Amino acid sequence: MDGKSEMNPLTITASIGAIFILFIGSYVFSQKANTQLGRSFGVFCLSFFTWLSAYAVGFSLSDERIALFWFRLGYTGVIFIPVTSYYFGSIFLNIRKHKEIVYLAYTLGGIFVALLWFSQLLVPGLHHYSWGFYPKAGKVHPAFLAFFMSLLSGVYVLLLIAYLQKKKNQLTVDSKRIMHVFWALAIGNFAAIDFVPNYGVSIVPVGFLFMVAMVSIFGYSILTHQLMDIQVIIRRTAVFAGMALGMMAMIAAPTLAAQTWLAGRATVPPILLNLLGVLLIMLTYERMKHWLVEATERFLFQKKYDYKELLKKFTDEVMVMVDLKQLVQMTVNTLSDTVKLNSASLLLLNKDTRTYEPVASRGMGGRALQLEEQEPFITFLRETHEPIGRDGQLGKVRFPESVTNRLKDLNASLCLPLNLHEDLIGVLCLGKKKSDEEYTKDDLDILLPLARTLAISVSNAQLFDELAKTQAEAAQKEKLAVIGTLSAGINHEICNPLGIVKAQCEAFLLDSEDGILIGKTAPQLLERTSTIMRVALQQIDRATAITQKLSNFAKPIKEPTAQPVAVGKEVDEVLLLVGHDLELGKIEVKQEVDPQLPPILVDRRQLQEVLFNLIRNAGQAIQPPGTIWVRGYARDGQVRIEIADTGSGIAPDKLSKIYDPFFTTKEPGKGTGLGLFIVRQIIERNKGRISVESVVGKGTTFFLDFPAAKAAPAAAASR
Amino acid sequence: MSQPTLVTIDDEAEFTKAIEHFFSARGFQVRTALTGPSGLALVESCNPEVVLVDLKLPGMDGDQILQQIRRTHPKTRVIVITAYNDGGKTRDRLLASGAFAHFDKPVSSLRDLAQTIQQALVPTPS
Repeated sequence: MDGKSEMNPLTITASIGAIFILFIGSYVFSQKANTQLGRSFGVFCLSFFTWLSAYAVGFSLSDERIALFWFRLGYTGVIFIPVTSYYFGSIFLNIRKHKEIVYLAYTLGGIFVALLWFSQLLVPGLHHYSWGFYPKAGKVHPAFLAFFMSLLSGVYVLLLIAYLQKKKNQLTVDSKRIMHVFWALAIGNFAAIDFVPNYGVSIVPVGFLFMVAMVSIFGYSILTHQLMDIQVIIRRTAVFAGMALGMMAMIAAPTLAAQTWLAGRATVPPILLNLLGVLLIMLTYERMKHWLVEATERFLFQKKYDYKELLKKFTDEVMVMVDLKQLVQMTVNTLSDTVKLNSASLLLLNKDTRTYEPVASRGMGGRALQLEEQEPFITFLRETHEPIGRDGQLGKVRFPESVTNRLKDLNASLCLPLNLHEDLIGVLCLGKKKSDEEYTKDDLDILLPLARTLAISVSNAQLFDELAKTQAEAAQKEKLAVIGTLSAGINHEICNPLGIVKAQCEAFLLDSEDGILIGKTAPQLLERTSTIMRVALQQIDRATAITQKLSNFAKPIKEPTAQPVAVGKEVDEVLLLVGHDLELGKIEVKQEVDPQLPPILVDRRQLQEVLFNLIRNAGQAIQPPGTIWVRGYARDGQVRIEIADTGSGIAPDKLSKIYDPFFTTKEPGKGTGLGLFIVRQIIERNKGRISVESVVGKGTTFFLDFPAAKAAPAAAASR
Repeated sequence: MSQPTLVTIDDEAEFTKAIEHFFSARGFQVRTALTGPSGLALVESCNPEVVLVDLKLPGMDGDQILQQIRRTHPKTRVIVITAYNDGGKTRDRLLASGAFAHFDKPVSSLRDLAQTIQQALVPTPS
């Protein structure tokens, strides 16, 4: 055979195979270099690469001597294929005691390499076939074949034993996984036909293509670590292989064209052209690898790509929520969007009914299952802190049927416990992935910590929820306490008018009964009755006004509606309610609000509530007799309201705590401790500020500062 | 017996007017004050048989007026009217400190008040 300038098609296919394996090997190695599995796969691929790349060069050569060198180099790779396969297999099956066999295999491999290079016993020369050179089998070649086959058989036996063991232990997933490797190896076995031409039979050695397929399957399964559905792997591998081959073709075609073109013009030895092609591939390799890795990450290992986003979204947006409803719905939405799930739901423990109830769901089609605290599914999650997956997958833990059946009821493929200390506060149920893939260990590595963090966030939000409820209840209690204070004032303001009306009417009737009206003229009687009516109407209006004020005050506070409010008027109204009570307790109230004071922009009722609380507190701090001043004046362009008392004062160490909820200096039963807490909240909601000065034994002064409403510049300017 | 004098001290002008009207028509000489100090001055000047006083008054409250009158005019009967319904605590306190009678506001009946005032006019055997 002397077709010197003809390009051997086998060169191209072998090069493609070599570079493809180089790519898979280096990719897996770069991803999993820290694991023994990754490293063993790396050397496994290296032996394949050596074989195929050296053969590719060998096929293209016309000089038999040089070709022999390249084929022997390739054969070095072939020798190490069974050795590295065995090594990889024992690591994959986690069999440590086979270390000695691995060492022995490497030693034998070394001997065969020595025989290959320094004797004519293994590959003494080359066959000349129509399709190119091919190594000739020497005298010890059958021994090498025996060595080759026995090591591979060893791997098969190990796989079978492991398979049967796992199957016996009903570890269906593990056994399936082993079966996949087994069949992948079986596919790779077809490569053995490449030994046939060694013995002078002219069949084209394309068996290595099976090896390429096998390596691809291994590579993929190592990357995802969990062997899943074999169809998924094959589909993915096909896509992956197709992409790699496409890339290779793009590079190989111009190289080939250049070689052909150059060959016609100059007497360039074909080896140079080949080296040029390899150089070109090497130059573009980095860039191509980068592109391929990116594309692979993006399209094949999409979950890795998106999980970064998932984690970011969770830590930035979801976990920080304190509103429970929003938190749970966002959790479910974010998870199903990012992991691309058909459905997802979240169950939380209802502490009253002791059941786990769905609080948020998506894609559940209205299905809402409640789980009892005692049922096995819940107890399992609570006790193991482990997730539950379909078909007893996810390794170590096996699930009883009663547990896995629940998954179907929940329309879930994976259920993660939300554990907080020893309590199971909820269950996160994830449905099938849209891609139909199973959940892998990589998924769990992200989802489990996420569930743990979520448990803390949910628990926080629940506490906030409870606190808000307690606050609302306490605020209501505070109001009831306030009503006690008010009743004195109300009594006065309602009973006085009523007393007047009653006295007027009764006097007239009694006068009539007692004959006092006899002899009165009609105009006199008319005047008398008119007076009574006029007084009665006046007093009715007066009583009506106070009841309206009271009902306004008792209404629950909604969102503040800011409006320009005259401070003096509001102080007067509040004093009308609370002033009588204070004066009765020998506490003088002095209203000193500047009548020129500009209005402030606040919610009227809320301002009243603040004033009421502060004046009432002041009254309670005073040992009668005493005085409360309510002042209002402009200061630094703001409106300041001062409520000062001659009360007992607040000790400096307690002064910083007065706004804390439930802090009180009042006697037990007199204050709920929410007055100032609520007061500050309201003031801040109305864009105001509160501050305090206090001297023990002298009294306390609260300062409220509000921005002046811009609507009244004239009043402000007049100051 | 000359016309008995009734002094009514209450900051509710309309109420004092009604009282004045009612008792004037029934043989009383009624004098009215709207504040504590002016009421005391009135008691001083006309030495009334009966004083009708509101417990809560500007300047000086009913308690103080009661004490003062008890001291300076022991024969004058003081009837206190209160608007504070506190389960009889105020009533007991007032009666203990020498009030002749106590009425809640609104006064349940002018007839009852008139009756009590009539009783107050009867001198106690002392």
